[in-house]
Amino acid sequence: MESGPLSAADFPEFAKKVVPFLHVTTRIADRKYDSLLQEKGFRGFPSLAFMDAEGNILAQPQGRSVESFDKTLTALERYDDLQKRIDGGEEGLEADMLLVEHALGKVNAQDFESRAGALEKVTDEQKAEIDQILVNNEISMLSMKSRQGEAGLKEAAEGMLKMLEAGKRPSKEVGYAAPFWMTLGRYGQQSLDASLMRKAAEGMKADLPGEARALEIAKDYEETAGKIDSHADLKKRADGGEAGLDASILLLEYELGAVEGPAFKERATPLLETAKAEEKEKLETALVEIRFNDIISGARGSQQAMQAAGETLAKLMKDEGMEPPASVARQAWGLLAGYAQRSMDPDLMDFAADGIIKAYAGNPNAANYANKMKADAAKLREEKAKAEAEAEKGDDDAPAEPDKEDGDG
Amino acid sequence: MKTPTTPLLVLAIVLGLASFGWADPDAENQAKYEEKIAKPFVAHGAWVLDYDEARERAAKEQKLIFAYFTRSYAR
Repeated sequence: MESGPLSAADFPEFAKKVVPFLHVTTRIADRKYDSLLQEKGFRGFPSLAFMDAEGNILAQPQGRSVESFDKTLTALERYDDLQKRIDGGEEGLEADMLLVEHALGKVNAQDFESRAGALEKVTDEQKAEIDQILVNNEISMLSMKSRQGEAGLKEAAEGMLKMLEAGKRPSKEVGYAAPFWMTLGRYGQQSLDASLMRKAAEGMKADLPGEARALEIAKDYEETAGKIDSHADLKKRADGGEAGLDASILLLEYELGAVEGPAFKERATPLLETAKAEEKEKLETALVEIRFNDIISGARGSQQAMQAAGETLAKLMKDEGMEPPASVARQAWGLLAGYAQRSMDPDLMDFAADGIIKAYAGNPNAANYANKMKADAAKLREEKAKAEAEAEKGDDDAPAEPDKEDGDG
Repeated sequence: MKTPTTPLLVLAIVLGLASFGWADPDAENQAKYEEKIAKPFVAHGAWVLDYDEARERAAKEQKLIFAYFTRSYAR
């Protein structure tokens, strides 16, 4: 926020239209208004709000850009104006009021739909705006469904494809266009449908041309579509009797997420004998990646599971010298670092710290964490040496035990 | 000789006290607050830091208040 819209070149111009008020919760005892955030009903940081001169909250911006701040301000001014006209007895302002309330986030999807359906007087421009909001609301509902497992994704994507057939498209905003095309892209990958992935990529590029992340995703979709085509082509050739394609087919399925770990292991093991050198190396890397992934996912759920995973990683990475592939390196080194600290093993702590530095190359927070762990390891060694020296000194000072041979008996 | 700026001075006091193990939490939080409001975005947006002043100005200039709530006690 602070390095984003609040530092944007157009923010000072917007700020001239309002009184920009910065509230900082400090936790300094008895500081006036220190708990204003809670008094205004907000819970988290950061929060943004438009207030009147009495300090009443009027609305919160619907987005995090100067453009959206401005949009909310315009809607608030329009709301105030409409309210005065309605209070003055003017009629036929229902559609205007509904659109302004929507812009201020004052009306939920269900209420919007029922109020929109009951409107009697609507201009063409208002109708177009209302229709687009209804489409966007439908997208929001379907994209929520898309997060409910494979079946949810299928249902959501099919619903969105029907919307496209009916000529309904998302508005060109990140909040609607991105979930719409990404649901179709995810489903395209799940169902190995190259043409759907290309459709999703085209949609992203057309609707969000200025969004770097959206363009990256579109490029990924195009690459994935190419892999799906290659996979289909190889399968066709293999079905036609061509030999020696199994490793390539399996590796493409692995890259596309179309084969689970156990099935991959079962199919890859015999192929290691016959695959070409390059494919053999890729199969071996994938097997290592699956092995690490199994350990990492096994660490979830309980402290014991995490401890057991740490122990396995220590054996694998330190004792056997197995390097985690880049895709799982951060998680693996992170788990190992936690285990090393809990075990108070200075050698393992040093080893994990070096791994963290390597896996998070260039990240100062990770470097600080790793260096602190190395310092703790040095301290542990020092304390251990001190305790051993004292124990040795204690042994030297203790009176010698009488020789049993010379005893009374 | 140029005197140190307030945030740096407060921070130096806090760090000095902390090294003896009895830092005053209010002084520490004051230092963090000073650090926060010295960030470039604050001058960039010409933010009003006082709630009473913000309300007075809103009434006088017939404008709405645009409030940004943040914190300084955690970095």
